[in-house]
Amino acid sequence: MNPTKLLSIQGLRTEFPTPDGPLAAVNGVNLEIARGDVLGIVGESGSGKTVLGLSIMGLVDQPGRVTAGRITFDGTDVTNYSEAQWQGLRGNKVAMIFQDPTTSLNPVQRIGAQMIEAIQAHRDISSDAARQIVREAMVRVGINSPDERLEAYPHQFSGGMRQRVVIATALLNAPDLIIADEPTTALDVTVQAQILRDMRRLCRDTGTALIWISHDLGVVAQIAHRVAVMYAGRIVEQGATEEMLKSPSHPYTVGLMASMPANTPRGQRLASIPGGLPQLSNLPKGCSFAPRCTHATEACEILPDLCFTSANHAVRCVSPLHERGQHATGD
Amino acid sequence: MPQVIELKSVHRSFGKKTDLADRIATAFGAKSTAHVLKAVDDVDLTIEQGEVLGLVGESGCGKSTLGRLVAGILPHDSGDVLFNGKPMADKTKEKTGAGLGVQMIFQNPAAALDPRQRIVDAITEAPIAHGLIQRSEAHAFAIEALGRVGLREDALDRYPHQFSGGQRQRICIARALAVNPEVVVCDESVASLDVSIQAQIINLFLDLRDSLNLSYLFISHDISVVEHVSDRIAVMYLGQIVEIAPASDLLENPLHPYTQALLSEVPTLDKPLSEEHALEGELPSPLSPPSGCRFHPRCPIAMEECRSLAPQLEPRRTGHRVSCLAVGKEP
Repeated sequence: MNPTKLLSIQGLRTEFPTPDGPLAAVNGVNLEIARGDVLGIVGESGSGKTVLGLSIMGLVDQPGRVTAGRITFDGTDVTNYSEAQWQGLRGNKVAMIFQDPTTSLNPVQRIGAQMIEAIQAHRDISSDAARQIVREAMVRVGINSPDERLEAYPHQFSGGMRQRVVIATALLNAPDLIIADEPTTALDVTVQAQILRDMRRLCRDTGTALIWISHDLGVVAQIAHRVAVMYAGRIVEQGATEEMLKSPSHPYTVGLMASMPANTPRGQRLASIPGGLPQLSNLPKGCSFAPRCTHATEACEILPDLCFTSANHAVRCVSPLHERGQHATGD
Repeated sequence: MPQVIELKSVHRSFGKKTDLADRIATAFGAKSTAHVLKAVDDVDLTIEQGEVLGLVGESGCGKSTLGRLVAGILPHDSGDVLFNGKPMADKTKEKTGAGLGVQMIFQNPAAALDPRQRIVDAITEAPIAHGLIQRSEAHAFAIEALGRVGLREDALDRYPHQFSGGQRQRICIARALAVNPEVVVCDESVASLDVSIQAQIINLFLDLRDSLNLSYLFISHDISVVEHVSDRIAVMYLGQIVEIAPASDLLENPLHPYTQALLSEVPTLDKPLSEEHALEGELPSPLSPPSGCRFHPRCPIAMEECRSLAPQLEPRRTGHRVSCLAVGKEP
């Protein structure tokens, strides 16, 4: 047992009932995060990455619910927490940042008031003391002259500034874990780069663990120590960022990297993965990726486990690709 | 190569209505402030036959407005928009036969298609209305149009909601091509698609260019996508083009400090993001652009005269034009 382990997820399954039967958006996910760790979760839309984040936060909307598995946070089993217990944890020990900062902020309340409220919800503290914490958090995410900004309303901020306010709010109660779901997807590359740097520095300075969910491997590569690739509700490959990007082993990861325009010479056809995501309510029996996989054999009719191929690299595939895949640069 | 599209000092402004506060201020003798946003400010641009011209820039820089001007679905205030040497028809006024030669494909295919219109009708409506085909030919015509974008005949009688995002974008492409355009304006046409689907659509664009000798204006915030498809790339900042060059030249030797910063902030798999911000702050409000060179407040190499003197887009190398006072002319 690792003493620094902060979050541990075992066999997590989150289902949504549909007329065609239950649909497992998260289908047997195991994850572990230590303090100060940055984990990137990559997947396409419908892969279950967002529902995984929501499940960890106890935020899955009815009628969806966690039907199996265990979530242990800082040594405590939180799987069956009541809403009241979750409220003590959320925004306090764990915080979440969403893609669209506009919907995370109250449009008719001043920024400062919202942020002070976030502190006072969890701590018995004077407004003056709370204001001081808010000021410090704003400076930490690169918002200068915080006193002026605290009196402003969300609509007076640009998209990038709003996301900074949301990040500052997440930091207020010094959480042990932040889950960020596509936090920079709606932003320009220049602003995205600024926020990536700020988050990278914050995690280094404060030892906060971070789960960064994104569809963009390039973004995740900039910030995460480890990467998990999700496909149809399962983790199909997981490993130390550098090692995994250098030698992706699951055909899906290889295909994903090959279809990034930056990895193919200009004007040439991109290697695309044929077909689309399978119906989650009607998954193929074995490997979910097999119907789109050019390497699929009969052996793929049995669901493979996530097996370690090296100390820092695990793959869910019966015949993982060991070569450097198609991620060739330049030549 | 003949030029299919030529823009000569094109302007387009949007007015902001005076609100109550302005009226009161004016009534009390305050100088009335002009609320005019110059979205496209003195732009010269050409697109050659069979060429893909990429257009990049941050949100709010005017790239979508420029795309709409080229497509003729937004009238320009002054200057000339020429299609094959003749003034572009104003599609907002003329109803029949106007500017079929330039078509546009938008970001969100779900919004671009009528949810209650069958695919066969969506594709054949325009060619029938413009007398390109007879109603009796519609069925066969639609099958051929769908085949061009990789969809089968069984799509004809279905409705948009029965397709995935990537398939819907294929339908939009089929519809745009149904009137035999020479130029297609793609405004963030692959932005809402997953990486593997995005690769399929980019391949389709490249194939169609070769088979139909199409020209594209390819607008995207995603530089790696633009880099992949474009022959030449134009960089826009606050309504103006600041640099335009052949794609490889622009990416390998960007001359404008804004282009340099923009390119360095693109997250990639093989190089980590630098520790320092390449660009401070965000795009200034286009309602009150900075004096002189519009980039000077964020420019790392700004000189004193940049505050007052507006640079012109001037050739620096073959086919490479830059609008910057600090970048020296090559002998």
